[in-house]
Amino acid sequence: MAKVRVLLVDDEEDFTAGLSERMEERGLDVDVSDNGPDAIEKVRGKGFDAVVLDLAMPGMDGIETLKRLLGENPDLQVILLTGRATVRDGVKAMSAGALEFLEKPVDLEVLMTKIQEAQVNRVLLTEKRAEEAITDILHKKGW
Amino acid sequence: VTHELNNVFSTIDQAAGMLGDLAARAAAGGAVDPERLETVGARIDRQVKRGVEIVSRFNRFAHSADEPDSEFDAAELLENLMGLVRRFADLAKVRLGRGDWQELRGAGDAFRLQEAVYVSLQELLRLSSEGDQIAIGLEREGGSGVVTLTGTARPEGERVYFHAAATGGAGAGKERGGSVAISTSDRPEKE
Repeated sequence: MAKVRVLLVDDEEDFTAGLSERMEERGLDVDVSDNGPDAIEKVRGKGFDAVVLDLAMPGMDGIETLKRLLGENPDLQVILLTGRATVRDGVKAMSAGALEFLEKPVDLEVLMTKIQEAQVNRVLLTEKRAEEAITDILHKKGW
Repeated sequence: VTHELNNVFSTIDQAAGMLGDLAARAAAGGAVDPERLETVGARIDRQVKRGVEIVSRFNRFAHSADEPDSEFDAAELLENLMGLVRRFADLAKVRLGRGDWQELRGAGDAFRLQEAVYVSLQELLRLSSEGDQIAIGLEREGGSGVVTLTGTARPEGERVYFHAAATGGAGAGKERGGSVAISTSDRPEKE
């Protein structure tokens, strides 16, 4: 069975090193990025089941990165992490299309559950897109 | 500051979790690479040092409000403030550094001086773009101290004046008064 693929985006190097190692111990395939533009580049080349994204990063912040990521792939499942959770930030993140908004320090088991949810969502969306494509072909061909 | 501390705690939290994972593996009879333990230990050590530095800076900042009319080391005060606000500059991808710098002592309200410098700095950051630079300088102009904030976005800069403590031999004392003025030309009136 294929491993769940996760992109972890945060400029805190020690944090991403620790979290990614622990995720890999739990069987995930983890890729790391320390800034928004690099994360966007990475999702172009690889199909991730989930993106775990920090809100506060130098240059392009988490919300802007989230919008650009979803612009690249509207089906992408993004979980936002923040060290300074406010209701306003949460509302902004969810209305920009985040699957979840979690506060740091994050409980790994909670994060793993959210990543599993993200993977299920992604599979369902992929099936839905395939079904739509087949229906579209059937209509066009008139079968 | 709390956001920065939360990052420190989050990293230590993950490192502690990793130690737990490794302990569980060892308990189940698995091999644990000592190098991994060293790496996790070094990670914790780095973050504890970072946390201690943040707390020390914040502590110095908080206690600067204790005596609104006192003599203070202006250079040390500004260095401390720069350390506290560096993350804002980093997030904006703006390089923050020292401009012309003269060690001098101030007299008056140290907290208000920092507040004025902070407000000016936030304004400069707001006007700055990625890759810009901001320099904070400290100089004496007659009986006043002046903090200059110049940046790519505003080369003419902002000037924050405060009373410099008088220097000299016997009988030298501070010039009293806590006025701080953000201006490109005004100096605080002496009492």
